[in-house]
Amino acid sequence: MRSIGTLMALVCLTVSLPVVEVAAQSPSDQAPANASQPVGVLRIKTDVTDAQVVLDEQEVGRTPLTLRTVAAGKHRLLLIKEGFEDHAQEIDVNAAKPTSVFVVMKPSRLEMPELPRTFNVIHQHRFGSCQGKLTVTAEALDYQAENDSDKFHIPISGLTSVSRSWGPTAGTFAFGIRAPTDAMAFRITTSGRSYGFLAFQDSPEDKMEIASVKTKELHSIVYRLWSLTLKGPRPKR
Amino acid sequence: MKRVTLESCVTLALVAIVLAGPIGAKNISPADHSHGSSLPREVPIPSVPKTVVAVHLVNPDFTVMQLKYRVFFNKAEVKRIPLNDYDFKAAFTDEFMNALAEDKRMEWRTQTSDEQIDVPTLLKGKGSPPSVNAERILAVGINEYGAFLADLAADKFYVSAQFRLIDRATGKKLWKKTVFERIDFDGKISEMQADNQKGLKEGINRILEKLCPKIAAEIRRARV
Repeated sequence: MRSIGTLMALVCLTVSLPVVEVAAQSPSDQAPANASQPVGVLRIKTDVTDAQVVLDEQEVGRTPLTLRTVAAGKHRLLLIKEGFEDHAQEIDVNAAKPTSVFVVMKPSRLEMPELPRTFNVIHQHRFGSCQGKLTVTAEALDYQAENDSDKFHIPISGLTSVSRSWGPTAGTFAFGIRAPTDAMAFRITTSGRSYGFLAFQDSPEDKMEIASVKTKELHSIVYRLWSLTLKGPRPKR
Repeated sequence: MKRVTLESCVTLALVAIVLAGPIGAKNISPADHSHGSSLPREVPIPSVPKTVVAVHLVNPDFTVMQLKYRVFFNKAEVKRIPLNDYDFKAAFTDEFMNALAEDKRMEWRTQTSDEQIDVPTLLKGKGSPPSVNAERILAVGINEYGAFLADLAADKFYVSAQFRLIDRATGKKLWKKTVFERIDFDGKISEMQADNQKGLKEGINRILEKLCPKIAAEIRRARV
C-alpha cells in the first residue's frame, strides 16, 4: 500500500508540472525589477514616428511602442529623434489601468526659405479675381495687381488664420465637396477680412498639378512664418 | 497473491498515465497513442481566422469645418491645415491594431505594401474582395478628421469613419459601422497651432484613444 501512495504522489507531481511551465513562459516586454512587484501597461507615442525610447537609462524601442510589463511607479522617459529636441519627462505607471503618453516633438531647427519670395498669383475676390504678384517677407505679405487695381500690405503678426480653402472667400458654400486639398486656394484671414490666392508658375492656365505645387509652397512658407508668432493656450487656473 | 496482483495492476495503470504525460496537457491526441509513441505530438489547433485591416484615408490634412451664424445669412467654410511631422493614418492604424489585439477570436494584421485592397469599393459593398492571405478583411475608410467650430454650438474635434468586416471568400458582410466620433475642442484654433501644432495633434490623439477601443469593443461584442 505504501508503494501505491508513492506512485500517487508521483502522478500528482506530474499533473501539476504544466502549471509551472505556463507561468515560466509568460511573455514579457520588460521584466520588472521584482517578480512580486505590480506591473502596468505603458504606451508611448510621438507625433513623428520612429523616435528612440529610453526608459530609466535603458533603450526599450522606438515609437509607437507598447510595453506590457513595466513596474508600477515613477519612471524617467527620454525620447530622441534626429532633427528634434530631446524630450525628457517623468511618468507614473499605474498597475490598474494602461498609461498612455503622447509627445509632440519640437523641431530643433526650423528651416526657413530665403526671403523675400515673390509668387505669381490669382487673387480671388468675392466676385471675380485679379492677377498679380505676392511678395512674402519675414514681416509681411505685399500684393500688387498687374493693372494696379489692387494693392495691400498684410503684416504676418496680424494674421488670425492661415489655411487651404475652397472658394474665393469665406461664405462660399463648401459642404459635400470631396475633392483633394491640392485644388484648394491659399487662404489667410485678418481680423475682419479674408484673402484667397491661387499661385501659378507661368500662366493662370497652368495645370492643376503645377499650380497646386506652387500654392502649397506659398502656404507652407507663410504658415511657418505665422506659426512663429503663435502662442499656446494660457494655462488654466 | 491477490494483493500482489492488485498492486501490479495499479502500478501498470499509473506508469501508463505517467508515460502518456500530464493530464492537463491539451496538445495530446488519442491518435498519438495508437502509433505506440511515448512522446506526445502536437495536433494542429483549430486556426483562428486571419483578418487583414486595410485603412484608407480620404484626406490627410486636418479639416476645420466652420459655421458662422448671421441674421440674414450663415457662413459655412471648410479649411484644411496640413499637419507637420504627423501621419494620421499611421497613428490611427497603430491605435486601432493595439485595441484589436485584445480580440483573440481573430488574428489581426495590417495590409502589406504589395497587397492591393480597394477600400472605397469594399465599403460600398461592391466588387469582389481581393486575393490576400487572410480569411477576412476589415475595411476602414476615414473620410475626415479635424475640428467643427460653430458660433451657437460647442466646438468639437471629430473623426468621421466607416468600418466594414467582410468574408474574403464570399464577400459577405459580417459587421459594419459608420461613426462620427466627437470630443470637446477646448481652446482657440490659432492657439492650438502653436508649438508645432501641439494642441491639434494632442486633440486628435485623444479622439483616437476614445474611438479605437470603442470600435474594437463593438467588434468583440458582434457575433462574427
